Amino acid sequence: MPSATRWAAPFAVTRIRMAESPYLGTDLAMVSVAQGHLDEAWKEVRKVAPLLTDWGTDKLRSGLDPHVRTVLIEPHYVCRDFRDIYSHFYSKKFLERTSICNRLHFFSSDIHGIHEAIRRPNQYASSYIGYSVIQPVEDRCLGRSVFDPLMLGNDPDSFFCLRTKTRTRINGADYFVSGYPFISQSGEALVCAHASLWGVCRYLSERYQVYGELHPNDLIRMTSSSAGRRVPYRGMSYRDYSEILTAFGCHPELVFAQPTNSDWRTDAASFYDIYSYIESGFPVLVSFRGHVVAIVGLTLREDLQTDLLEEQTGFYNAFLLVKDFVAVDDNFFPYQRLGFKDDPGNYGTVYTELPRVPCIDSIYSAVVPLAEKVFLPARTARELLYRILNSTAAKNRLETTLSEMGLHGEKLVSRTFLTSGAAFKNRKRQCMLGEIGDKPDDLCAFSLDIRMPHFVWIMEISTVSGFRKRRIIAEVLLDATTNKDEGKNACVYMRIGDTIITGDEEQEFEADKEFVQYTHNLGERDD
Amino acid sequence: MTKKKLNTQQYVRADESMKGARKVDVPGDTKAQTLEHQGKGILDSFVSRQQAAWSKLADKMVGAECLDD
Repeated sequence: MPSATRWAAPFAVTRIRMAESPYLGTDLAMVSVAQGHLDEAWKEVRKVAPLLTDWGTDKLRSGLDPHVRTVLIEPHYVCRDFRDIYSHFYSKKFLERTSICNRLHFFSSDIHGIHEAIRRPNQYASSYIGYSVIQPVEDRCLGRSVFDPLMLGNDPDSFFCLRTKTRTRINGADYFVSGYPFISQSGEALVCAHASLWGVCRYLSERYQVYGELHPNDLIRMTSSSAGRRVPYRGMSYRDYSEILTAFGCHPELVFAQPTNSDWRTDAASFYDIYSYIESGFPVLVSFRGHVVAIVGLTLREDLQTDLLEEQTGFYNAFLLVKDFVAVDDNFFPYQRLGFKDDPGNYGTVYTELPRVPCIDSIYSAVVPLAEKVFLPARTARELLYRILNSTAAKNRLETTLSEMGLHGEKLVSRTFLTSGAAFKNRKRQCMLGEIGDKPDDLCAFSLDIRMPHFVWIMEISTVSGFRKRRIIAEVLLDATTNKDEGKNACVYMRIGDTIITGDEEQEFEADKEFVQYTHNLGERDD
Repeated sequence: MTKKKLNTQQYVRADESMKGARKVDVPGDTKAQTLEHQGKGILDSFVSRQQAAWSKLADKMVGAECLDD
């Protein structure tokens, strides 16, 4: 057994095992978390998972305490992300440390012993909240972690968030969790820019086969050396961001917000752009001058935040119905609520040392990892969609539809987002069959026989109350590979109430005038 | 205009569904508005603004922009 060093003590479990046999026993352990005895339970967890620091315990408890009933602990876990950074950085340090991590699994139900958890994963699948790898680093020890936000008390009617399904295997038993990947910054090798970018890349590679998996050191290696050495502490420039995301397979887009007096309304178009990309299902990296986080979703409010019509249109942008953005910030438990300025629930108010309090209004820049075949940026798409909707045929049909529905004079909300043609058709097929919605929507059958580009921009129109019920009265589809000049011909089709308009033709059908909103991008809502 | 009923028991052909539809001119109306907006330079100003944003930020550290502002 190696002689003790300052680092040896916390890893006693691992080292004792290695002295006996490197393969004998996983030391799997379980702790029941009884409400009212949380402190004791976490003490037990830390006995079996000695790498869990005070900081890590606080962060986990801040998100999990009201929900967790059982913690399953793997004291000996080889994490591919930590091994990567260990091999390239920590192994080169003088003070010895292990490359073995702990891993904690959290359940919202009581489990009667480890044996049950391993024998009957199906029985406990619905109570699996997620997992967290605990890395052998000082202080900020939370490694790769995935938690399902819908198992953490968030209301699925107003909370929309990117999630991707991840499989975990605990001694052969398969468990699945849907969430957004999180990692904390060690502050030594990884900084917040790395942590945010790692989350974006891991989310995309877990969700889409087209992207390969990146590990923490890949991000450091891909950071340019033109500004000097990359570790420790070196952050990333926007040029690095662009080059890394491009090498990863994305085609990044930058939105540069310039609100004055930290009031988003003074640069509303930029915030509408950012909102459109979030609604499109892209994790968006936003900077607040001094810190960077990933925005992975949003929550909704009941009514419009302010009476601000979108410029030169008769519509309110659906951004006005946003209450918070959902942020993954490496300094906090994931899924924090980033509110507007003066929102007392805004988690960003704790950052007192930054030049401006992080909030939606103080977003300085947003980097969006777009796909290749999205040639039309959000703002141009929105402008073109409004023009299509302002054509004589569309305008008349919308007015007729509103009159027939008794909605004349109602405030109308527009929501603009991207989706793939394939995903859109899949959703329409489900609506046609009645798998989504109150009853089958026959008119959706029309959409299935449309020639779709890979990506389409969609503008949906609804009333405020309809929006909250996830019902719309119009949708306009625009080819996302078009440009501003050929855009006039790029309207794939539009449905306004019971009417289809395809550029030069208009036809009414026997169908409901109100139909189901598209919710695929930030999680299906099948209602 | 007569309302059509789609028979979803069979595969619905989009082109057949639109047979006998009323003629409209969405592209013409859209083009007219685009030309009007281009005359005001609205879209072009957007493009140049984007390029300016990248060049302004390219070498700044993400999350530390305040340092040299």
